[in-house]
Amino acid sequence: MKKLLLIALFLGSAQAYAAGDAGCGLGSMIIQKNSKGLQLLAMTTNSFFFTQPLGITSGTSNCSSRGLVMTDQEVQYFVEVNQEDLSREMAQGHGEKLATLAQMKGCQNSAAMKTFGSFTQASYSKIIPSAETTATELVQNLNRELSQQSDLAQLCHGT
Amino acid sequence: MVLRFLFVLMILTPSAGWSQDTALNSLKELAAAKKVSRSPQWLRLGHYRHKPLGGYESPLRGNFFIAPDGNTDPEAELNATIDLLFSDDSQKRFSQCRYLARTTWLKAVLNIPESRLATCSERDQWKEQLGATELYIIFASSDLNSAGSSFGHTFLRVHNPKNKKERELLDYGVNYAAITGTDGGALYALKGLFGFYPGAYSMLPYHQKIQEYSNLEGRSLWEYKLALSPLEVEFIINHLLELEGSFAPYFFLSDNCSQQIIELIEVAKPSIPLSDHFRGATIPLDTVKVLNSYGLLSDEKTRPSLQSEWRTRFAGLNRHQKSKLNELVKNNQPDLLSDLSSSEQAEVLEAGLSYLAVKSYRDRNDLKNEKYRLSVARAQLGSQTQPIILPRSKSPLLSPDSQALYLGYGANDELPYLRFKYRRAFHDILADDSGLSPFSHLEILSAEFRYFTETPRLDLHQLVILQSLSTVPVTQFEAPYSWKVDLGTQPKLLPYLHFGVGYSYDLPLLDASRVTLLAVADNHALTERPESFLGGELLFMSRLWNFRSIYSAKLLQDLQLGRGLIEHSFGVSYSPSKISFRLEGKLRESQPEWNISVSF
Repeated sequence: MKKLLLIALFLGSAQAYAAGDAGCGLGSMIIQKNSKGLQLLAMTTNSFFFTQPLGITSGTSNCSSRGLVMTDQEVQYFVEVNQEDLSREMAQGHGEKLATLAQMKGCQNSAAMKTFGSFTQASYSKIIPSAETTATELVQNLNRELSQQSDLAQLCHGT
Repeated sequence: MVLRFLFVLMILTPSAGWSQDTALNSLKELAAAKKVSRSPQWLRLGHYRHKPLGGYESPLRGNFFIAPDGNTDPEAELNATIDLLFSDDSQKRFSQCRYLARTTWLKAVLNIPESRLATCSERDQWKEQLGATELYIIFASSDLNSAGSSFGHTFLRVHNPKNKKERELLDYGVNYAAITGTDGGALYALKGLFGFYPGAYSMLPYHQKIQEYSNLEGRSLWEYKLALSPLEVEFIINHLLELEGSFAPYFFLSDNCSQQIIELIEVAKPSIPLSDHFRGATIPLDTVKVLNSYGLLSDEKTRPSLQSEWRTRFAGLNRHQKSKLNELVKNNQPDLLSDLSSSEQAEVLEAGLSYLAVKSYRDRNDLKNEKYRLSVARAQLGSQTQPIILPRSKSPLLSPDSQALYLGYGANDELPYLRFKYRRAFHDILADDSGLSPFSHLEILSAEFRYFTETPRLDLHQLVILQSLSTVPVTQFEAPYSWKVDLGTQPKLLPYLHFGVGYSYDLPLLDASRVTLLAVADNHALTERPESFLGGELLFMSRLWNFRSIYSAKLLQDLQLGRGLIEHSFGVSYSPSKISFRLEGKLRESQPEWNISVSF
């Protein structure tokens, strides 16, 4: 029975890892906009290329289903969208996006978030080892480094 | 066997159909007796609008209406809805899940028995995951890049109470936008003005919307909680699901994002005539003000753009830090900060990272290596800094109305006149600029009449189609253009077109001062013998408390006559509230002109 559970656990984690590998495929958030000169006329259009239709019949992608982000892919999706800001906020140890990430990792109160910020500073080169680190790698590195933080685990329930 | 089954079915069908008809007919009679098809709620649910010559029309296209003429006939649509939704046929009845908001409301109004109601577990699950209990309206203002986007944009944030504090970034943003594809340039503008693009709702995580607005476009966001009960919020979500697969022609000026958002709010508040305030043009900022006037807004909160964060960080540095920052962004060598204290280094590195973030959005270049080097250096310094606090800007709700009347008295070359001016939109450089681009002017459609008391005669003095001035200061790090475009007729219907482009600089004088230097091209009397001038203009603008002033000196060369001339003009205003008092004057070729006026 124990063996079976272990296998199930192993399979489960392997699957999670594989899904993580694929990422959400959101791509770079820097996009081309219409020329500045026409902004006057375009003042209220706000048309976008990565718009997804609202509703229940929207398709399913790696991280979202029917237009909503899957709960277990929340962190991956958030990091892919906000990798730029997060890389900066992890270095300075505070910021709104970092606080959101800390909350997703179970850190609720301000003391826990502060500790989370110090942790991302101290482990910065391990979480983001190079300028080319992808969002998927960032999430994996973050999870690995977090698992070695016993103080933080105590402060942040649910990690 | 099959044949026998069919035979039985054939016998059964008419009687089943008959009994269903009576039930449905009595529902329709009840609906007619209660005048349901003319009730505000039904009209809002179909987005029906009164036609100028009577009758109704809805802009919605696509698969929204059930009756063939449903978009012009609310009654036919109501009857078709009853036939489909409350039919005996369980297959048809499943359409209740397609039309959740209609079903919810009709169920209550027509006392539909439970036996005729379908369960929509798929939708219930979806709504549970969305978890919406509150709605926020988000106003995206312009920061400083363009006076044009002062018009702004509005969208909604669907709040799930599970997302406490910073987790609210995980809420969803609901946006109404034109689906423009990859059209660009003039085609894009023209198609947009005349309704060639379909507009539709879309939904994305709120943090992704923030990427678009506050990072990419440098626009600060203002959030307001809408006074809606959780049931009203659910009703709106139900209605949004109904709208899936339908669209409306998008008109940049009238049927735009803000028009649709207020019509959406009207679906939950059918008794409040929000959209009646907007016919012809819907300016996003005005819709927010109208919502506020009905007491529908609370909990104002601002989310500053990346640009404002960068400017605040830069302003917080001392002189030595600023020069180090300049070197740092040029050489990308964190070592050169070594003579600063750790906390000073941290501040410079954070400002540098802020700057690189703004720059990479502006230049569409990710600058990965530069950012990474500064980030690693910053992380090594450990906890040194506190989150920066941005100066609170004045609420856009307090800005003057976009429409204005000007009444005044003045003299042109010693001929006294009375001045009457009406402005359709949007903002006057001498008026309060709360929530708008500072030192900017954007006037769209205005007419000024002058009544000369001595002659006496009434003249159309000026017709403005567009008058805009956008000034953005040059800093140590950025050298954006300032520009102006003026198009209209003056005097009477003689058309003119003026351009100008140049640079602006902020001066540490009074509360705020800016000087702008422009190269200008003025063209008068375009339809007759055109008079063209080339030259330069110096603008000096400043603000102190509620006082504002502007002085302009233009040095122009007349291209036809080959001679130069100088034009001076000035304006001073005092705006204690939304009313503004002003004195303006001009001197051109020893012809003096002045007037005093009040605008409101």
